[in-house]
Amino acid sequence: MPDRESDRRLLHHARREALVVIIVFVLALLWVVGYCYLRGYTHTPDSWVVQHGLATPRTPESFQQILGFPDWVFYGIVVPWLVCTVTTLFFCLFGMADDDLGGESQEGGPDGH
Amino acid sequence: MDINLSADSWQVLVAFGLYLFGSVAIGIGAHVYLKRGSFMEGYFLGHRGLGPWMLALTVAATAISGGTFMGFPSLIYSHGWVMCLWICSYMVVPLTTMALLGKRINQAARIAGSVTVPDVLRDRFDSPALGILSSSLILLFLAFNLVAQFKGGGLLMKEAMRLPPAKARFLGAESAADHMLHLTFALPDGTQDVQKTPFPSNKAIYLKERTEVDESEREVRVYFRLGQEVTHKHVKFPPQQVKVPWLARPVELGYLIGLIIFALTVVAYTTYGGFWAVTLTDLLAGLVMFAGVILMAILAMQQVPPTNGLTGLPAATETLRYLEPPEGKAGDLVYGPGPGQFLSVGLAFSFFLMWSLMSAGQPSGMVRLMSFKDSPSLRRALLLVCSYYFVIYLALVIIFVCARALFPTQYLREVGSEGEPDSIMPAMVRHLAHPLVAGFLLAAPYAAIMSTVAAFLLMISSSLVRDLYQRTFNPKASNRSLKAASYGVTALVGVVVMVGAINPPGFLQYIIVFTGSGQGCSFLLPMALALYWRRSTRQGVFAGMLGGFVAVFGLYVLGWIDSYTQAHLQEHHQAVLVAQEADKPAPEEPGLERSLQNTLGWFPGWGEKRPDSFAPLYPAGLDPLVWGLLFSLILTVGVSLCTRPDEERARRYFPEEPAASA
Repeated sequence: MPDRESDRRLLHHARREALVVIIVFVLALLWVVGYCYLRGYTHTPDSWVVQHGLATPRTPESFQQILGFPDWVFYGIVVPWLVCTVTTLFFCLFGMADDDLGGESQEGGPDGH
Repeated sequence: MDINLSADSWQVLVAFGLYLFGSVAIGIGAHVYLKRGSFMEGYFLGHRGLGPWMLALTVAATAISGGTFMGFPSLIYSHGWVMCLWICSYMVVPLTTMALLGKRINQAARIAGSVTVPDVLRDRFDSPALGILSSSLILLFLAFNLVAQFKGGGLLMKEAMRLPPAKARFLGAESAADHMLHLTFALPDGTQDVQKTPFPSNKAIYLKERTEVDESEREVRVYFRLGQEVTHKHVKFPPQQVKVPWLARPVELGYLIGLIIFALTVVAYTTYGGFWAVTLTDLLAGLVMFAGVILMAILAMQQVPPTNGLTGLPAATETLRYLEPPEGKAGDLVYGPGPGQFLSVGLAFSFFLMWSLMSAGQPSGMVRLMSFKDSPSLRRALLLVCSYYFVIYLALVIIFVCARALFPTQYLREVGSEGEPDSIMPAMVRHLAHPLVAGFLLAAPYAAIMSTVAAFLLMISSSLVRDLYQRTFNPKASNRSLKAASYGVTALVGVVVMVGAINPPGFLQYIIVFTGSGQGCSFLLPMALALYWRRSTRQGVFAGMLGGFVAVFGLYVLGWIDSYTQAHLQEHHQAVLVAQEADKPAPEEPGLERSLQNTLGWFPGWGEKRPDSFAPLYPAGLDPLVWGLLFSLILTVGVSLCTRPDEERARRYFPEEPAASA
């Protein structure tokens, strides 16, 4: 009989961690696709995003770069990537719980142990 | 046959050979290790003993396949900075692939002693039907994907060897429609062959009188005028070809030799060493790739010519800013959506889901998660993988942005008689480094393909031997006969795939994307819900799995039907115009195509312009995978709620909760 208490703890932790992953995923998605669409795509002057002041039309003349990256790549991809990496580091150093995964089942594997 | 290799190629091959030798030695070592404990668990799971480094690099190396080093670089080279957005969801891939399901799937596998992904699902719901469905889906997808990966391996080996082209005679060149230049050659056996090469830009003019033929290098240099400047491209003589008895068309000699070498090494060490060998070679491959791309990125940045007072990467970006790609205008290489409307925002969204969620849904990745030792291993592996991806993908983008600045037009996708490989990666490696170093750098992508193939081979044989043979037909099979069956099936599958890859279809990229998203949509949500949602039922998971598959598969098939229909209707339209001009009666409309158009015309995405005739439909501008995920979610949840969960199983996997009142 497996240890019910440790199984219960693992399930609880795993659910909490899965929730964190989903939240980070959604935030990253919104930041990256949203920012890059508004700042990195060439919009025509009459499109609604430009008329509502959300985006500016971009041309080779208005191009800027930061450390060799186009500005929108830097703020829309490199920075969130770094943030995600740091978040992941913190998450696995301090956020994730250590759990007993349970032993190998005695009844399960037909090839026996 | 002419197989005199240049000194350069020999050095590349020596480095390659050393690498392969190392891999095979690892296979032998692993075989010795296998003698301990239960054969099945050792062969397919490595006795659940993966520590952090092993787990990290094996997950990373399985995700990185031939596409990462062959297809992706040439896409960066031709589309510029927008590719950063295309790939960037790798920022969350470590979390989605490892932290989302990792602990729980490992626990579930231990609860029942499951060895494969279908095993886990079958045991969770006590449902043989679920086991068989998931095994069959895995088999179907992997068989397709393996052919594509084998082709990648063969092409890389061909690039490493660089057999000289055939002793042909150049007959002449002429520019054809859509800015392609056709060069005709007479082959030694009396037949003719045509090499096609695209113009460096839409405005380029071909300078016929300046064409030079270099007999010793066996290449033709063609010159173009671009405004005030004159540029040139190198076009190789056609490759040497051999007849294969059962194929109508001849096959390239270099590719055939490459494919055979690839198949023999990978099948041999996978069969012999099992999971442990694959994991150890993953470790080696992961380290070689990591060192390789960092070295290349540094070398590439040093080589970029200074522009407007800038050097290194800023200079490369500055060059790309004013460069005019063949399908677009200046600025397309530094802004979205890229040349030729490459990455619309809908597709950018789809690709974000593609890498992050689809890699989480791959059974070959899940199986790795079933094999780690303890949860500190998982945490440390996560830490390693997230730094690993950050460095590798950023470095790749930097290398090939620099490559575009170094070679503004020279390597834009060449189309040879057999369809040339994406050649910028090998070309850049040879440009940057000494041949011996180049050999090791080329060994990196080769290693990536090898480890992907090895993982897939194991998945296929585990599906056949464990899920179908042992669990369905012969539960009492002895360790000895299972062993024989595992070796035999692994080797047999390898050989069959190799024969298939001798003449692979031309639309490989779509097959890879199709199998990736098909598997992801079939497995991710059903598996996640089976593990985390107590109320899920076997019928729900079955329906969700099938639904995800059908949605993706359906959109691809509809895409092919659509391309067929539109092409024929277009043809007919042209014929009508011609007939009208000549005052003849209009030809009859093709009946099948018309009725297809009438019955399916309402379908979202039908008849829209797509990048390729093998591309799927993109309803609402979104990739099939988005629809597949949606379908699979609705079906898994909906059908589960309509059916009764198995209380006894639920209690076993969900210890804490009170019995659901269903």
